[in-house]
Amino acid sequence: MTGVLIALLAVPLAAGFLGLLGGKRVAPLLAVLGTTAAMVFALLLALEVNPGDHTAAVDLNSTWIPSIGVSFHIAIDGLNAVLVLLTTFVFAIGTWWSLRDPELATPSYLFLLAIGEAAVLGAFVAQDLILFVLCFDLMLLPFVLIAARGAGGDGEFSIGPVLLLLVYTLVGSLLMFVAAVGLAILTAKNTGQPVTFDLAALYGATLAPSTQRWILLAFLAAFLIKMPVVPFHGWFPGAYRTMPLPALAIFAAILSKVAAYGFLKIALPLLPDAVVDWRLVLVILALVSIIYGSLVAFTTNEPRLILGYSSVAQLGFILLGISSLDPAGAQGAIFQSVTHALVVVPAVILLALVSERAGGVERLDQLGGIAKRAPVLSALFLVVVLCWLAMPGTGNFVAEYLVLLGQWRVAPWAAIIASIGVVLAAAYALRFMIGAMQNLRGAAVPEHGVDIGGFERGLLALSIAALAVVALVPQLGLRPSDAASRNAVYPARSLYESQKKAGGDEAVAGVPAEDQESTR
Amino acid sequence: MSITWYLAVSAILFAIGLFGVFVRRNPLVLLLCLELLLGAANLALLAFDRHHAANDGSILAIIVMVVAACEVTVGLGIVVAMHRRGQPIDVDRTRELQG
Amino acid sequence: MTSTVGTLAWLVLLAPLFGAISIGLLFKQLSGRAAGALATTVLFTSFALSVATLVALQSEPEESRQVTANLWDYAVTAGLDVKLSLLVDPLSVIMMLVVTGVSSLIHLYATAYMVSDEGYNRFFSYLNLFVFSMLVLVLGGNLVLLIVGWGLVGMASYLLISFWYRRKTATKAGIKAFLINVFGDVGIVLGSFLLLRHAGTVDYLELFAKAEGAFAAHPHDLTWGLVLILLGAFAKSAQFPLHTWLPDAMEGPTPVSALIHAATMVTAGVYLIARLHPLFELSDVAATVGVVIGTITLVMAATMAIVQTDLKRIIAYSTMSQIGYMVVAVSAGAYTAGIFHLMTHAFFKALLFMAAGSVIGAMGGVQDIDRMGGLRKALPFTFACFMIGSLALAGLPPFSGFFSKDEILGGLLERGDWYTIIAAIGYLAALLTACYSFRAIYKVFYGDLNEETQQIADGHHLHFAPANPSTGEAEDYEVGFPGKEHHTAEENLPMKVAMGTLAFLAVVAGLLQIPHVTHVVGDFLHPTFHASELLEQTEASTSTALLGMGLGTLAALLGIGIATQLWLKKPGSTAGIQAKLQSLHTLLSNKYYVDEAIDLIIVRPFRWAGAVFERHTERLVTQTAVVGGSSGVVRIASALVRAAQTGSVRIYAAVVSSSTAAILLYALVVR
Repeated sequence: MTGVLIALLAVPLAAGFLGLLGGKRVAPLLAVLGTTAAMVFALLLALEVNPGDHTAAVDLNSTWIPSIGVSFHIAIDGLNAVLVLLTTFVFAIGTWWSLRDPELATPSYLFLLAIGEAAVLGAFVAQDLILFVLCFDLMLLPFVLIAARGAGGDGEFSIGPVLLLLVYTLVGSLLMFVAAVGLAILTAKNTGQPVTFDLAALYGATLAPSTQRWILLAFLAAFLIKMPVVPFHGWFPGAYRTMPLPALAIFAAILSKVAAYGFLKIALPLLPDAVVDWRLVLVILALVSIIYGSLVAFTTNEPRLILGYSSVAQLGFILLGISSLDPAGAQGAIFQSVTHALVVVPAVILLALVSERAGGVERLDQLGGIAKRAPVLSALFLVVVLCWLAMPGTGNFVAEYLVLLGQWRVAPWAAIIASIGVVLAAAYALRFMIGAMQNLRGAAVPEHGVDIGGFERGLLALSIAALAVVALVPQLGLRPSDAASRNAVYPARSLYESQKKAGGDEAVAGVPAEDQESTR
Repeated sequence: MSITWYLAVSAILFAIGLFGVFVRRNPLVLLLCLELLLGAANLALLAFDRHHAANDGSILAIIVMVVAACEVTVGLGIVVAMHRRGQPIDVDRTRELQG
Repeated sequence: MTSTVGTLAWLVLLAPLFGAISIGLLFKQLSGRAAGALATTVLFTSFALSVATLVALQSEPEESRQVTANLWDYAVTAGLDVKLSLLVDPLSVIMMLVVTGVSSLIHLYATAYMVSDEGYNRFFSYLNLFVFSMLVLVLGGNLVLLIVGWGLVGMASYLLISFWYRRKTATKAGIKAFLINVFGDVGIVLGSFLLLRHAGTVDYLELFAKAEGAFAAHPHDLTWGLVLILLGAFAKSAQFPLHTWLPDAMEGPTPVSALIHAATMVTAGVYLIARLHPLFELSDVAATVGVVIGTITLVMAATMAIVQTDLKRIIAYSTMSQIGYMVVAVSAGAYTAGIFHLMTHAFFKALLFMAAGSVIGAMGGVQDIDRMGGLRKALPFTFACFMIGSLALAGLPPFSGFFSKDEILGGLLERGDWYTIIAAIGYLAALLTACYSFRAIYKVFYGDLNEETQQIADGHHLHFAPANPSTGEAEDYEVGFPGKEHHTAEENLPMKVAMGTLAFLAVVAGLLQIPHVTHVVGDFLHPTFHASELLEQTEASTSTALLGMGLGTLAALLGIGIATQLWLKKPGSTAGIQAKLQSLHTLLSNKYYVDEAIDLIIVRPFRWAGAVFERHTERLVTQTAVVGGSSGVVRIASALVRAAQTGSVRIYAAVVSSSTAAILLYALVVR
């Protein structure tokens, strides 16, 4: 099975590279083969996971740079199994969709997507801190390059937004790199062992709370910017506007989830004291993202930004689940990552199809009445919108239910505020659908429209089939990560609970809290 | 002859070459001055060789001469290309590398 | 045997889903009335299977008439254990029968009514989907499945209300209904968290078993949990203050109003309270909230109905009012009465909507009762049905509405204390109910024929250029707007059959539960409610029952009498009364300004906030990201460094040589 694990990373990369060498005629075929193979491998690996066990199901550990303690350690466990499968699925659909436009899907573009896929998969399966950071940084570059193709010179966009995306995200990521190195070195000092970046080794030795705090700050910089979370979201409107839609589908769906995964894999287990100290800050950031993102999604007239701001809100839910330090919240966060990604991909496809039927215009106030001219598109749009707003009965609802449940157990007031976001989600999603599809014909929509063709129907059918699976049997997505998510929040959670108990005893015994802490 | 004289000549040549690089604006003259610099270095190398009865300096001098030849070729080619495009043959006026 | 009941229940549920999906996939291929026929057949099958489930359940001994049927694990993780399971017991079976039965008749009606609409196939797909959703709601065996059903019903009702999707008023009404519904969903979700925290389960039977012990130490959590769940019930059942979507929902085609806003969706809240009765009986506060809101609604709606001039909206308000009665009943413990009224109301209200649809068909789409009059000779069958429905609604013996409504009010009287006041309000509202129902009859069917209705009497339908009935905007007949032809019961057999059946039921259904004579419904529901303490308290004694029936008959007769006086004998007299009570009239016709209040308090602030965020805050954030943020820092730093790139070769040479000299000097001299 370790062979399959290596193949998971190597095959799409090889396919992309060979496509680059082979040229225009060979590249598309190789891309399809590569992404399909990756999906198959991911499925095989996911089936290996034992739900009750939080340790790795498939593990590969080989030395890489022993002098600084970096090993090439990758593994599939409960936490990342479903996410890996999700990644391969999203990249597959995104790549196949890109092939529709030969001008876009050049061999270099496909190679860039392949690098992206390998990097994201690498980030998910990495069990070594440097490997994770490396993949985290690497996964951004292909998308920056893809976004930049249309920029500058005679392209429509200026290079500014792309640079903003690159620099803003990289700053966070590089801070994380520094923190990672610091973490390993300080841990080595604490334990007296040689420096190692292997996560399994780092889990055991926790650092002093004050050290943890600045390390967490750096990690937060990387993750919060990536997700993005208000107020670190300044980069995304520009990026969303300039990236070609197939790449945007992948970018919006997957990259933010690596940040969420990073929280559960690295931040929570390794830095529990700091996480508990800053739990409230995270909760507030999550709530602000949910409400702010939903409100702007409700007001803005650009479909891409509606999607973008709604993603900010949904990522806010994920952060809410993570910051609840509760197994239900963590499960909700992971499942929400899956269901959100599964919704974003068809949503972007629909966005493209809608704008096609409006002469390329991407303004909501000029759309309308497309349902009459394209009934099949309208029906599929409806299904996706219902999943998007997390209507009960969809997988997205189960995820939000779990997130809210987790947060309720810790801070009921936060769950109540977050549920305003649920109502707002229905508002902006329906506003989008009604504005684009229903009412009378909009200014940009021609009188006679064409319904969607077989290729798009197939892509959408696949995405909707995936959504249907998580809607009918959410347990499939929840079971693998059950033990792993509980394990991930355990250090922080037990710390939080012991602090609460100490606080409770203080009320009874009359001992001030500071004295309690020093005895801990 | 003591080595000092050779080194003095070499220093003087070097100084003249350096001064030329700083002051002259014509790229051809600039290249000439660069040659002076390289020649001065060569002289110093050979002088030390003679002084220490070794061969390393000579070998290095030959390498320098080869590099100088290549560099002059490329340099002259650039100057000719500039002239062909009607650009001014003046080092101060060619600022395209300005950031 | 238990598996038979379970299997049958699953089949009942899945049949309409199958219908919806097949019609949806084949929507281009099905022509003519095929889709309608398919949908109706599916529903009748579902009804037959429901009857089979009833038989199977009744063949079980009484103690084991609460059957759960699991399919698979839905979400079992982190302290949550939700399976895809149905709870089949008398309460869910009676709901199932009402839903599938009345829905089949409405499907039948719609096969003729909607035949000229371009979106015929889509309509039946949605209609089947709706019935499926409602069945999930009433059959679900745990709170999470209830929420799933709740959401699906909200979705289906949105699709059906905004069925004519090119009409802006319809899409607006649809999104309004959906959002209020989502708000209710959220209430139930949060309520379920409170219940889950102490009981550790969301499964109904487990929850009820553990309820008393689990919540004994946390009564406030139980109360708050139930109040939050009540929010969901009120949203779905259009109770004050979450009722504003119901009148707007009349934008949907009439069969939709009949199905959703009479028989099924709006009764979901009543079902929910009845289902969770063991919990409500542990929390007086929550039960009181139910009773109070129900009372407010039943009075408010009755007063609003009196001044309405849109026929469908009159019936909508009467629904709101009658649901208020049911909510009061199940909150006060009179479960049998509440569910019985739910059943009879489904019959006569669906009948009323169908009859209204027939009238509106004859009137060419016009819904304004001021433009109608004297139609009883022109539309005799419709008139008869409307009369039967109204008599049942008004609660005149021996129609079914009388027995069911009086069982509720009698039960309240029996319970005593302050419930007597509620009962008194209920009788008053019954008077109003009789009054406005007969107002509608007199204005539509009696009186003189005017120009337009004369044509109908001569045997023609009216035809107008296609336009929005409320705003007058021009439309057309293509997909997304109503079709060209309109249909009446007199000319369409399916409509006649459906209406006739309901009329019959509206007349005889009362026989099922005559106080102290027959108790078919009560006995049937006994296994579900046997542990209830309140049920006995609301069983009216003979004297109370007789008193109640007397009061009820009196209220109905008085109401009919007043209506006859004002609208039959002296048709113009109301104008004078209206002039005298002008401000009251304005208040009522503007629906107590609740819509405006909600708009002011909730909708506008959110819109304003969104606009401010989009226009100002976003610019600030993107700009600070550019200027002050990391990108800005990089930009400034690079600007500084760029100063060194002069592009001048000589300066580069100077820099290189001077720095080399400096280093050499340092190395040779200083070190």
